[in-house]
Amino acid sequence: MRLLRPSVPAWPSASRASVPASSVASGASAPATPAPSSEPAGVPAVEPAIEVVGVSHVFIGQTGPVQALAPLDLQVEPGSFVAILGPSGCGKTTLLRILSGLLEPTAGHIRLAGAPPPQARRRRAIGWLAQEDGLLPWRNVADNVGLALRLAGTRPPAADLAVLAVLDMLRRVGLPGSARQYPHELSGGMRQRVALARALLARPPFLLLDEPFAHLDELTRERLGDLVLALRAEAAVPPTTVLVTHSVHEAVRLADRVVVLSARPARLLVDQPITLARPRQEDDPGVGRLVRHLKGALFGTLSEAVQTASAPLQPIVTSA
Amino acid sequence: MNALPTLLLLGGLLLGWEVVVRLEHVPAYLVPSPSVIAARWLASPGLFVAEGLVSLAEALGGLLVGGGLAFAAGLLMARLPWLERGLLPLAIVLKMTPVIVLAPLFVLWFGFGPAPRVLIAALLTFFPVLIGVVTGLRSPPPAARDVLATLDAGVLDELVLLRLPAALPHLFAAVKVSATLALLGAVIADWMGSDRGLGRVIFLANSNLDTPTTLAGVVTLATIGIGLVGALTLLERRAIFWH
Repeated sequence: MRLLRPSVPAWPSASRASVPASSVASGASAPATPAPSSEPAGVPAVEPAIEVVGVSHVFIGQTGPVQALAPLDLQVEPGSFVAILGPSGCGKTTLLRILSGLLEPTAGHIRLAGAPPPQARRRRAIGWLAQEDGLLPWRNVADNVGLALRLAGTRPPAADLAVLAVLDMLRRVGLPGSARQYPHELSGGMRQRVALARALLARPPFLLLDEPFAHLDELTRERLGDLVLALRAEAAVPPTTVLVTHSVHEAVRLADRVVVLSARPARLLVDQPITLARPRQEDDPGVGRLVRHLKGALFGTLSEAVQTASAPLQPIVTSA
Repeated sequence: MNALPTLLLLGGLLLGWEVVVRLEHVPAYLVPSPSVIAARWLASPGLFVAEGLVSLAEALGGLLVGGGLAFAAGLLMARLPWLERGLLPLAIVLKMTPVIVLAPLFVLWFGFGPAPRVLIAALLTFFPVLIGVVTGLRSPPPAARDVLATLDAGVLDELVLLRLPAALPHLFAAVKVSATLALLGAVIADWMGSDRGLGRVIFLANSNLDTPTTLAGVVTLATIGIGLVGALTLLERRAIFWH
């Protein structure tokens, strides 16, 4: 498929779901009912880390133009963890690739900490992890993890510190002693750990995850999800994280907020803050209610599960 | 163990050939038996080895020249599609021109020394290596390409870290094909006009109806070809250890 440049007009939008940053609740504190469009007087707005304004995208396929994304508006608070759910082919990966600067949107713009994605890439501000780990098979684990530093031109004596940083990161992802191994000598789970270490080594302010655990077994998926949370918690400033996933359980377990997209062309259906305390167990009633709630939105079977931005869902809170 | 089936099959064929020739009393100038060919080879091993090494050296020279030029052209063509559109038809024209036509012309232009033979070998090497390089450089693993893009890797970094290593399997496949073509080209060029090389030995023997010497030359050529491809395969296994 060729990428369409903005000469093709976007489809007219049915609704432009816009979620103000103040609607995002964080931590386990009791959430306030979010104001749909305006900030209360006297409350300073949090500058969004990620700002998506009117972003749409059209692909040119064999049979003609295909609109992958309806115009979307989205804001993500600094340091928060947003999971994006949606049916297969709805445009989740397209949105993430636009956020990372790998794809240019047909219309609209994106800002990452106030800068367009290509500028964020130039600053190496993006940690990227996809289904395929993207490891270089001809380089050992240490070289793969240290890729960002190598590309930044790290030279001695900083190179020695870089080696220590790589070894430390490998220890933190549970792979001490694997520095000299090659990717083909590792299991799928181990390879994703290496890829995660690579994504986080340079402490990027943004971490974009495109179904990184999709190929893995359930236990490994859970462990790697916990690892992402642990590494975020260890960071002085947690990276603003966007996770595209097919798993509702995974989204609820990991994220501070879950965004549900409709079928193609993707538009924002649900924006659900999650204020449950961590760790979130599968048998927790609050987790169960949220999962059913979001599945209902995904399956489109419950009219009350389909929300517009003007009437966002009440956040579900369990008492501590 | 891996070579056992091949050796058994080959041994069976040679035995059958020997038996048929002896039983039918086929004259040696028509179809010499394997034992006669072997005896001819063993009567002058130095000749076949020395002339074989000359042809091998010409083939390797052609492989280096043609392969090197194809690599450089392929690097540019992979990066600049307009250059590919311009040069590829010319490369195909060169490829399609029969060597049997070009070899005497090269001798006329460049003399009887090794230069025309190296150039013929280079000509036969060029096209397969060019296609291998262009295809290989344009086939990096997409996931790794995305990672490097998000890390803002420059063109040179992407080439060195990703595209060149990813192109190695294509490159080695092309070089193995080209190696045999280069050897064949060198021998044909020897045939056309040279005072050295296996091609000259085979040509003279053929002219004198010395079929045992002709076939001994062919066996030497085949052995050199197998050795060359074998050496490249060993090199490939070292270079592409992850494949």
